[in-house]
Amino acid sequence: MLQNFSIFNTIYNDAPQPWQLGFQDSAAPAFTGIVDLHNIIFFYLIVICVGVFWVLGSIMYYFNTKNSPIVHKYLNHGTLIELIWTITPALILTVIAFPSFRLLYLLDEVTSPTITIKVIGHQWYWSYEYSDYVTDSGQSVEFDSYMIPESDLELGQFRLLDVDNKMIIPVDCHIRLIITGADVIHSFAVPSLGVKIDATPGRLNQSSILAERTGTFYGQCSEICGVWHGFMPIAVEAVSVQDYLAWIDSV
Amino acid sequence: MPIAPITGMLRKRLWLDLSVGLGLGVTAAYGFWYGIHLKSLQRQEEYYLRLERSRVQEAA
Ligand SMILES: [Cu+2]
Repeated sequence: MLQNFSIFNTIYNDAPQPWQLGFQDSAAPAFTGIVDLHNIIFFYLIVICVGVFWVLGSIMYYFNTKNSPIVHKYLNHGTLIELIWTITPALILTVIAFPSFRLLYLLDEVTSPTITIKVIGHQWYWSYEYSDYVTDSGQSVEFDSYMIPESDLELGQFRLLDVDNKMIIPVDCHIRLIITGADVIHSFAVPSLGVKIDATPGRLNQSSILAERTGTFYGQCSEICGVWHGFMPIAVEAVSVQDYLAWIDSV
Repeated sequence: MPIAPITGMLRKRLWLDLSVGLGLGVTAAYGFWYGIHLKSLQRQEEYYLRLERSRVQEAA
């Protein structure tokens, strides 16, 4: 049972597990940064939670009306303590803001990308355009990516996650994503690659990804976009550069 | 018969409680840091190291 909680068992899963509590395994520097920031803040969260609940419990135990009939004397006009418990959290929030903004601006940086992929959200599927290449007929490489319905699932495929045409990327290459929506707002999100960015109609959003290892990384549309919002998953497959070139040659 | 005013009770307990609470909190937080965070980081490093080694082996 405990094996189901991924904080106790870091197996290399790139899709969510049943009853999962923690993060999926990172496959990109961006997500490693996010997990690090989360854990640093979680450290202070534990200190504050234990501290607050300890004091709260102690007050309830020692200063309830039975033990301390005049406790209401201290109920208000405690200006000093109110100043302390207002200013201290404000300082803590300020301190947390610095590493948070640092990471935010780092993630925003697009470092000289090898290829650019245009990601378009539709009701209710994703389509991908590899604008750096043209086919024999002179058109750019593009394809749609639909979820595999439950009735067509093969053994080993994920229900509600696997798609017919995965987005293929070369491993260890900086990739620029241009993200937009064709009809309503969607959101392109792949946890293990550390991206979540809105696909807004009439707007091109930019992001970048870097897969540090080969594998298939799953994500889902993350902006409620209609009845089949839950049925337009994202599957990104990172392959070696040779395999990538062979694939782009075949489409 | 007058009784001595009861003062400073809250204050004394508060300092004790604050120290104990924050002490326990810091201990638990370091438990998380070394027991979960650094351990999972180490697992990840080891995995990438293994990956790199097998890549080198394959190339050789
Ligand atoms: Cu959507």
